[in-house]
Amino acid sequence: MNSVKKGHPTLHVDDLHTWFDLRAGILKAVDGVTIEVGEREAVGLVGESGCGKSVTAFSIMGLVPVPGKIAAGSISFGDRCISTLSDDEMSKIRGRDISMIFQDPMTYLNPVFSVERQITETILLHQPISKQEARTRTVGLLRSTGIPEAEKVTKYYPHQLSGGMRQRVLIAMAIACNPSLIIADEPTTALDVTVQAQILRLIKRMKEELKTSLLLITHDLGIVAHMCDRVYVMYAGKIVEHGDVWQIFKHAQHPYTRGLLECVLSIDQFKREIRTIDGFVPNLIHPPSGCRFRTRCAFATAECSNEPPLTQIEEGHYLACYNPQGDR
Amino acid sequence: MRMPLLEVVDLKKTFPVRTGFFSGELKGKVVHAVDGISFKVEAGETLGLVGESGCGKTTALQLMCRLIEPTSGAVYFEGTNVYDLDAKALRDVRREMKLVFQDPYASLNPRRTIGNTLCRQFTIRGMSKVKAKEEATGLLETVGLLPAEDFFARHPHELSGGQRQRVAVARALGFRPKLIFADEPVSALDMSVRGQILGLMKKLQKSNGLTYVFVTHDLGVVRSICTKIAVMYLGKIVEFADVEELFLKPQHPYTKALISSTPIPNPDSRNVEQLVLSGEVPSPIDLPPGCRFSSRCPVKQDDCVLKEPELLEVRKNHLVACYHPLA
Repeated sequence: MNSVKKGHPTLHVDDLHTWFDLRAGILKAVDGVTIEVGEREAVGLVGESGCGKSVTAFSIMGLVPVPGKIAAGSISFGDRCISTLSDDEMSKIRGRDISMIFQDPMTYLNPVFSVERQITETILLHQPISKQEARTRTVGLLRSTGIPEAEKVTKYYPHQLSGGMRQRVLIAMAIACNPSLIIADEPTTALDVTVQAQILRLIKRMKEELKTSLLLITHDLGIVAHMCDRVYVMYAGKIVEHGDVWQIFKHAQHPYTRGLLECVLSIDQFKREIRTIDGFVPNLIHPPSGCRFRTRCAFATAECSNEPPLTQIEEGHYLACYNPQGDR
Repeated sequence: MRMPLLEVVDLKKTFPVRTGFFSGELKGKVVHAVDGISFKVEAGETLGLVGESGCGKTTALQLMCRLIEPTSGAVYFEGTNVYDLDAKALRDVRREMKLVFQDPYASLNPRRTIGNTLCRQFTIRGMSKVKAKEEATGLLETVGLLPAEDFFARHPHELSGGQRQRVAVARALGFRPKLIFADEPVSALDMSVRGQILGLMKKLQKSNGLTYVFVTHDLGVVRSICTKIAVMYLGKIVEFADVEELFLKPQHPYTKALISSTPIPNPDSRNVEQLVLSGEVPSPIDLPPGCRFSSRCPVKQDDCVLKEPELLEVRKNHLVACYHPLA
């Protein structure tokens, strides 16, 4: 299961460049990213904040905020190119084929409409069924996400729900039309750990039951280790390493991936020296030439001023670095 | 016997409940934010106060610095009850115990330069400007913001999140405090920066002989910096132990669930059975009868709902409030 299954992957992002034309210059938030998500696969996209993870997700959904635009590259979904679709065409795909779960459900739920109205709206937009049927299905969806007294909750407004409940409503909305891909952008960052565990378990179960693919964006490597089959590590708008979850967690070669793994404060290790990656993500209007990580990298050499290509180092394991770290 | 640096005795804080903006307080209904907590912190220790949101950990911290007045109870700092102090004496005590907040974007005044922010605590107490600048420069150097002169003239918006949090730590270090309260000091920071700030705080603890009280929901942070942990649930401490003891032999089912719910960054751990709690933290207004964790407890028995369990010592320095502690 190292590489994507044969045939068309569910999602294929090819050499994506999403740029923001700002007064200060062009901010290259995503600068040549290639990602594949296979059928029924769970893929993780990790990196620090400001490295372009969310912009990648918004690009896939066709929701890049102004003044951003997809400057180059293509995104295909199944055998269809979706990066060139019009807004109308894209809105037919959004919610039906690809849906998204966001970090902060309060921002993405409309505060003035009831839960029922918001979920039935999604269903009615994509499926030719009656309002009554849509309402019944809403109750079923809420129940399947583990909301107690679902009939009552459909009448609630978002402010009457707790954070965990809101996230369940958002998940119910995301799965309402049986999408083939769910993009989850930091779905549990705003939640407490015990609720996080419930939500992750729910996402995992839904993924199995509905046979969907999952693109999980997070900075929490613990969650990735738990949920994903393959992992892409992103730094300053580029993919620096990707491979299956074992390759990344056990045999990471890129100094950045290593750094990320070493600076995680895990509960299973006791009071060792706290490791860090010095510095911070560079300004993406004027990124460093060559390897973008070289300004923070302890292993940078003269060669690093040329950009390292993303090359395969073993079956399914790709690396963009001239100084691989070897095995730990 | 040696006096503990900080001793909290049966501290309680309730807040009245209001139903709407114009309606009055509901009679007899209160939020039990902190409901009788007691513990001691010895000099040089780092106590972690952990729990989910709404468990009262931040209220507890505010009470300890007397930012809010308690409903009942006492907090002794070096043997003095901080609630007995008058305004002047309290100001003096507050030089010895300082605060670092979660969000360095909010806790620094955006209109003041870093130098101004740091100097203010000195000039306000009558130090000359020249001397204050010297002190502030020293503080910046201590927290690794070099060259200090460069940072002195900058405004908070010109700094990264990690640098801002360093400034907040620097500010707390003025007057060489003995105790620093930190409320989620690294939660707003990126994971690569978290280690930098925690490493800095650890280093300062050694060099300045500091004692910390950390409020956090992140067990990873606790494990890497704390020596003792108090686990809070709905305003009460349910377990109190040394860090290693607590992680290796958690006794309270809630502690066990917290540890088990925290994902470990190792794909080998994905097959380990997790103890996932059902439901969410109940309302602190209408507490469940008996043990307040009973509504979510996986090992609940009939006697749990009859009477609230007390925090008792089950092993040396290991206190648990549970009738059926885990083996």
